[in-house]
Order: sequence, then C-alpha cells, then structure tokens
Amino acid sequence: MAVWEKNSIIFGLGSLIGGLLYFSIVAWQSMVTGALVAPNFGIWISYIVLQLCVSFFGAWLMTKHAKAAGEALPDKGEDERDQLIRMRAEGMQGHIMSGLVFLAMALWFIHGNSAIMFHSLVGALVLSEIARAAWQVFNYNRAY
Amino acid sequence: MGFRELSAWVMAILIALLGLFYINAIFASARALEAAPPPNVPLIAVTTVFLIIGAIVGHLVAVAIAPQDADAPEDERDKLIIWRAGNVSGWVLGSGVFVGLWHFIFQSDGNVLFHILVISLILAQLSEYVLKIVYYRRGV
Repeated sequence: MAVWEKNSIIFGLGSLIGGLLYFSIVAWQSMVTGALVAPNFGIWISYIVLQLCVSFFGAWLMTKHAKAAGEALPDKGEDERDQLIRMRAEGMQGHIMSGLVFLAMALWFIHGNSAIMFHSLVGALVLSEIARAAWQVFNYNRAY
Repeated sequence: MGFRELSAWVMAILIALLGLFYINAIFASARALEAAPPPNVPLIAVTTVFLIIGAIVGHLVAVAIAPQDADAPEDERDKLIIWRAGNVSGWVLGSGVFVGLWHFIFQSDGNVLFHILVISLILAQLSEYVLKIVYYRRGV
C-alpha cells in the first residue's frame, strides 16, 4: 500500500474517531438534559483536537513503521497520479459538503433550532472527510 | 471559445450578479435592523428563480454560439479542469463552514451562521466557475 493511500486512511480515521467522540458527547449530554444540547466550546474543541491528534500521530507512526520496514518514502511530495486522485476526491468532498450544508440549512428552517444546524454542519464536515478518504483509497486500489 | 468555457462564463456572471444582489440586500437589512437579519425566504426564492431562468437562457445562448461541442462528452482535459476547479471550490466552502462554526461558538447567532453558509456557497460556486475559465484560457 502506497504511503499517500495509508495517509488518506489515517486522516479518514481521524475524522471518524473525532466525529464519533463529538456525537457521543452530544448524545450523552442531550440525554442527561432531556433536550438537544447547545453547541459549546468544550465539545467543539475536543472534536478538533482529537481529530488532529489521531491524524498526525497516525501519520507519524506510519512513517516510523515504514522507515523501520525499509519501505521507500516519497521525498518530493505527491506525484502526478497522487495529485489527480487527491483532486478528484477533494472535488467530490466539496459536492458532498454542499449537499449536506443545504440539508443543515433546511433543518434550521424546519426546526428553527440553530443547535441542529450546528451539529448537522459538524456531521457534514465529518461525513465529507470520510467520503473523501474512502474515495481516495478506492481510486488508489482501482489503479487510476 | 468552446461550449464548456461559455457555460462557465454564463454561470460565473450570473452567480456574481445574483450573489452581489443577495449580499447587498442582506447587508441593507442588517443596517436597518442594526443586527443580523433572519433568513429572508422570499429573497432566497427570488434569487434562486432568477438563477435558474438565467442559467437556462444563458445556456441556450451558449448552445447557439458553440453548437458543435454542446453535446460532446467531456474529454480528458475537461475532466482535469473540472477536478481542479472543484477541488479549490471544496476548500473555499469548507473554510467558510469552519469560519461559520467558530463564529457560532463565540456569538451563538444562528442568523449569522446561516448568512455565512450562504455566502460560502456563493463564493465556492463562483470560484469554481472562475477557475474553470482561467484553466480553459491557459490550457490547464
């Protein structure tokens, strides 16, 4: 498996774990209070920090493991194929995010609750990032 | 100029004009209220209808100007341009959403978050079409 492919998986996992933590806390606090919990700095920053930590620690671990195993690491960044795969995946991520942003705005119109819009937008960030990683890995494996 | 480039021009001009109209109306409303106004459904509906009508008319004109490649499937160059422009557009939208979320964390104003999202969507689409034009003009 190529280094950039592993990198995509790690960043996708970072988003998945960060998102799971975020929505677990939201669900737990909402059950305790009996209403949808309002967005707050603590939950939001914990999502961002966890996502960044998992992603960067994972990338560091992957690089260390690859070096120990004697695998060749790219010394000049992405090649043409890596760039093309990344651009396609990020373009698709943008389309998914647009759709989910529209959905979040529609939910706000329907429910009149800005907390729903906020949590939906966090969900949009998480889902679009996971979709990007999955699409990138899929394109690496079909040898595009 | 090919059909796809003409199409990008049509959409870029339309989105720029209607985006300015929408943003100007929101800012005028904010000045009058001295606060962020709630989403204006009639304004959104009118802007969307004008966008749809403008896109249909503009594309009919584009087909009349460049009929030879209007039905042609995308070639490798077209695909590359679409991916590159879409990539940047996604980043613009993602950054806008991120800014909106941070703003909401500190201000808790759903109206402002909504307007930031709309402006981000407008800027993302505008940047996509403008970049398509740039890439077509310079041959990717």
